[in-house]
Amino acid sequence: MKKPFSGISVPLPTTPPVKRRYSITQDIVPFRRCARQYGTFNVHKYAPAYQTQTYFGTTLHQVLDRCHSHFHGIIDPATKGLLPDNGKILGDQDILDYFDELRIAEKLSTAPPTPPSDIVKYFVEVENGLKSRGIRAIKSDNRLQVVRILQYFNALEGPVLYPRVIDTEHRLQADRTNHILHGVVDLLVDPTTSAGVPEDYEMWDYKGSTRVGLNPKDLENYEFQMRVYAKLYELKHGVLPRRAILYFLNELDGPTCPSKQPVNALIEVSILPTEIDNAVIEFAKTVMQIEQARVTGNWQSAIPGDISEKDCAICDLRWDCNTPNGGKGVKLRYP
Amino acid sequence: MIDLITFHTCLAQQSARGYDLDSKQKEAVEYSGGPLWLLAGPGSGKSEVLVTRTLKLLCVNGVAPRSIALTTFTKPAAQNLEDRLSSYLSVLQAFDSSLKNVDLSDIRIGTLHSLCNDILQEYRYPPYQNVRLLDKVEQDLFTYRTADISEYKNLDFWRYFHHAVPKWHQNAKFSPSKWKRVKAAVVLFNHIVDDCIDLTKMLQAGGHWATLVKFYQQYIEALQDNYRCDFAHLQARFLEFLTSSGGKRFLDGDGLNQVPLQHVLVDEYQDTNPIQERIYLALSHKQPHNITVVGDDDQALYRFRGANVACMVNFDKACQTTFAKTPYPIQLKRNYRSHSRIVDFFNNYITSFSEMAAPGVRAPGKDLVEPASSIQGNYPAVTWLTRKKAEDLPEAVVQLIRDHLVADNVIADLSQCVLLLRSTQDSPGNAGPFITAFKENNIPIYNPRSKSFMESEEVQCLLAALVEIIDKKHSFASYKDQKGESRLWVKPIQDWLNTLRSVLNDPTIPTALLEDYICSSNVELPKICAASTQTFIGLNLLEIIYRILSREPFSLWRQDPSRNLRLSKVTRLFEGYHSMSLDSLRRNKSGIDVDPTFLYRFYDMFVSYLIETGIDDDEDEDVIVPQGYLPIMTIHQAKGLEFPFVLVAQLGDSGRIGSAQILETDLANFRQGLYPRNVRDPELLVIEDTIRLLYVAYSRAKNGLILVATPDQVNSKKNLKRVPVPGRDHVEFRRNTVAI
Ligand code: SF4
Repeated sequence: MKKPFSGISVPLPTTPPVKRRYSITQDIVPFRRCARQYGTFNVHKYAPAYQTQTYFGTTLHQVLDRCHSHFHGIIDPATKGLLPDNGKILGDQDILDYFDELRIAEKLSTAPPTPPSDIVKYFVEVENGLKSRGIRAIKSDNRLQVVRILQYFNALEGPVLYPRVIDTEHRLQADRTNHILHGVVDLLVDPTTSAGVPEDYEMWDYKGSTRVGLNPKDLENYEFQMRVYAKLYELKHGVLPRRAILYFLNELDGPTCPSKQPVNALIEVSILPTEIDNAVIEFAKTVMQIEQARVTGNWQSAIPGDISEKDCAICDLRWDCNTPNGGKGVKLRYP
Repeated sequence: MIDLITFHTCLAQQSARGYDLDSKQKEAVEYSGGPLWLLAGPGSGKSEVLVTRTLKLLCVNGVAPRSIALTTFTKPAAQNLEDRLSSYLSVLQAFDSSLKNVDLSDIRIGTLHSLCNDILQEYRYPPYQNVRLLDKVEQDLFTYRTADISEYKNLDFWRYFHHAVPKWHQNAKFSPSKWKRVKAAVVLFNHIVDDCIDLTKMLQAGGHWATLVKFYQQYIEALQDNYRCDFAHLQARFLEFLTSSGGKRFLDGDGLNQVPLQHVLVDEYQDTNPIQERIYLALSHKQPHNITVVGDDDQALYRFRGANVACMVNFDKACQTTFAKTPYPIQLKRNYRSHSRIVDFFNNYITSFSEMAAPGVRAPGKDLVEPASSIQGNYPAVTWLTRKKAEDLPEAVVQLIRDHLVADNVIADLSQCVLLLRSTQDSPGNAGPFITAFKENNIPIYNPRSKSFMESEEVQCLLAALVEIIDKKHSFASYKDQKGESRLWVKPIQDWLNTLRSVLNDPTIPTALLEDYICSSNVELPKICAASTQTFIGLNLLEIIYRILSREPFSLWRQDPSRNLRLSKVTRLFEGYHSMSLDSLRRNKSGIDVDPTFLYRFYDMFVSYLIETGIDDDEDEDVIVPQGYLPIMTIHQAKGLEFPFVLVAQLGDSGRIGSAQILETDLANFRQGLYPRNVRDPELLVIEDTIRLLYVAYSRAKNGLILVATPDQVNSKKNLKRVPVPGRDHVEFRRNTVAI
């Protein structure tokens, strides 16, 4: 056979043609929590039977974002300075009744009923918005919980917190040698009363979970996340933020609205320069691991104990995974 | 802010782009006189230009990010632009700290659909409030359940629109099945919106057109009554919104916090349709009409999805009628991708057809593409791999790859080659012989579309296992239609069950766990039904699917990239069914088994849907070619990609006339055109489309383009009706191309 290309040798490119952007919360943290789960749902796009985990958090975030916009009069100038619903709280039954009415209206193809409160209205809007991006609504029992938590947060924290918010969904990113690092800080808060400067600001991040019972590995991941944010913040503003705070929203849940901030709701993450440097190194290492897994197709399950049993308990992949139950795996259910 | 020279110097650094733009590219970046018509040939760096132009607006001109809209065709493409923007911006910010506050997240960037949705939500446009957006599968299911046209069985009507009906022949004696009617209706309805059809005119045309309009109107009412919106109507809503008070605020700003929209940049403009064309023009209504459209009419591939290359070709006319202004044309003709011989080859190719020279087919006044790649060398970069008989070609391809490209270290990995085909399906007339040859020679291939989705072993086994579990008595087989014949789903489900059986009986495939799961489920399900106090037993089909997937052989199959891709798609299809709240298992009245109406609906709606409509492959998927595999792809899949070595086979096949080409002509009288357009016959359109398709295939190659064809296949004299592959003049081709 003739050999038309003799003498030519084309090497494999060493870097991807375009740097990928890695989000701390959507890529790095989920991959570190469980690579197999990340590979299946985020990379190979399997549709989970239960999406509770992801969408629970997303919905909370987006509604709270609207609450801030409400207070700052961004959606409608008329609401400037006002707390959504004036901090009023609807009972569970009222919320469930509304969801029922909404469902019936949808079934009978009649106009959707007027939402009973601002928060419920924002919640439904957010759900619809997620839907248009192909993200399905969460299950009904969780919907109630989300609305309840949102109402409590709004009533309890809103009056002091909202006026101090400098920015929501504050985007940060940085270009690294072979990837782009990207993060969104939920809130920038200025605790001082005077018009502050970036070195006074606090970075707040909402978590759609409880602090109590949190797997140490998860906490470690969250701290890691905040430290990477701190680095990005420093790159953007030239200074570190004053404090980095995690707010565990599910600590608010319960039959009634707490009268003061639950002691476990808020924790401050230490952001010492050495800790930050280590986090940034870790980040780069994780990116490398993800890139590698993309090539080899080898996405490993979490190591038993490194992931919370709760996460595994709602994972669609648990039936052939040896990790849950302290490494024993779960018993298959029939069917 | 930063000055222009520094801006270019900064981006040329190794840490950013790594090279400077050429003068034409810079001209395109810097132009500021209104509409810009950027004709960008293959490998001309159009995305670089678009990204640089956007950054220049931000960093040199100080345009507010919120004043810029940047759209492209697919989600992965949008992501790619965003990634480049971020990466380059960081370099600029590192150089000049005054740019630190430029926030890319404020740019409106994405597919047009996502932008429309976001903006309508943001402005709380009343007709789009509390509306649920339907994705493709949901639109089909919705039409099935609520559109009257799905029940319309008039044979003449369907014969008239036969082209839109999948897998159905015009001469059929019976009207198409309900699902086929639904699929056809969706095609027609979407075209009505996408093509800006004047319904009054269509109604006046009478006959089947008038009937179609009535059905369409009922469909719109159903959408409104049910607070739903499909993707086509999302665009229609958006266009209306732009004329509303909210729309004006969005376009012109409010003089306070809200900045006006000042720059619209559209990538892949050749894949735009008429309603999108109107949207883009409406978005850039503000003087001096800063709209930049980028694309290549020669690479338009998506007519079958409603795109219309006429928008790109006639952009000058669109601007003249809308803005009374002529767009500034720039052609990016330097090709940085391919060896000069490859460029010469595809230049000759596209210009050798009289069909392409007709007015309105290509953008006017285009020059040839100029080779500018660093890939050089005096070797036959375009090579003709030929054998007398077509059946000998696959073996020849194997030899070339194994004994030359790999053995001589021309490539370091198989993923540096690609075999491009019209159809990659594993059947004798398509990729079958190639797949067999690769397998026999132990060349691992990556070909996620080797089987039509529903024919693949893993998909059939998965669905069969599900049927065995939820319907162990095989009630599906007992349903009859009005004529007393078995329902259409019976035979295919039986085939799936047979596929499953043969897998279970194959001693080389581990299946014990799966068998055990099915048996135990058959024991447990009646117990669960009996124990449940409610009709819904708290279990949905997707949950069962995941349990099946956890058993061998599925857990093993998932390690194969192609099978994995298809299994993942099954889960997404079930998600569509789930979104209509139809997939939660219910028990029957006596409480000892699954509700027969649940099962009936599952077969009648969902299974029939899978069987009859032919599930499309995802066109928008982000193609990840795994290392160590030789990719086999359709030319559509390869769009936007490049490979060192490209082999193109199945040359000499003709394209088929489809609904898209016929509707292009048939709808001409009803279109509310912005400007007069040439109407061309479907036969000619299909030739144009095929030429463009091969042009895209040929221009993917960097170092080597290998045409795989028998002498007969390249002989245009023998293929008068076919689109000749190397151009009309095959003698010239034979004289000039090294054959191996
Ligand atoms: S069960 Fe737990 S460890 Fe296993 S894949 Fe799921 S999340 Fe990962």
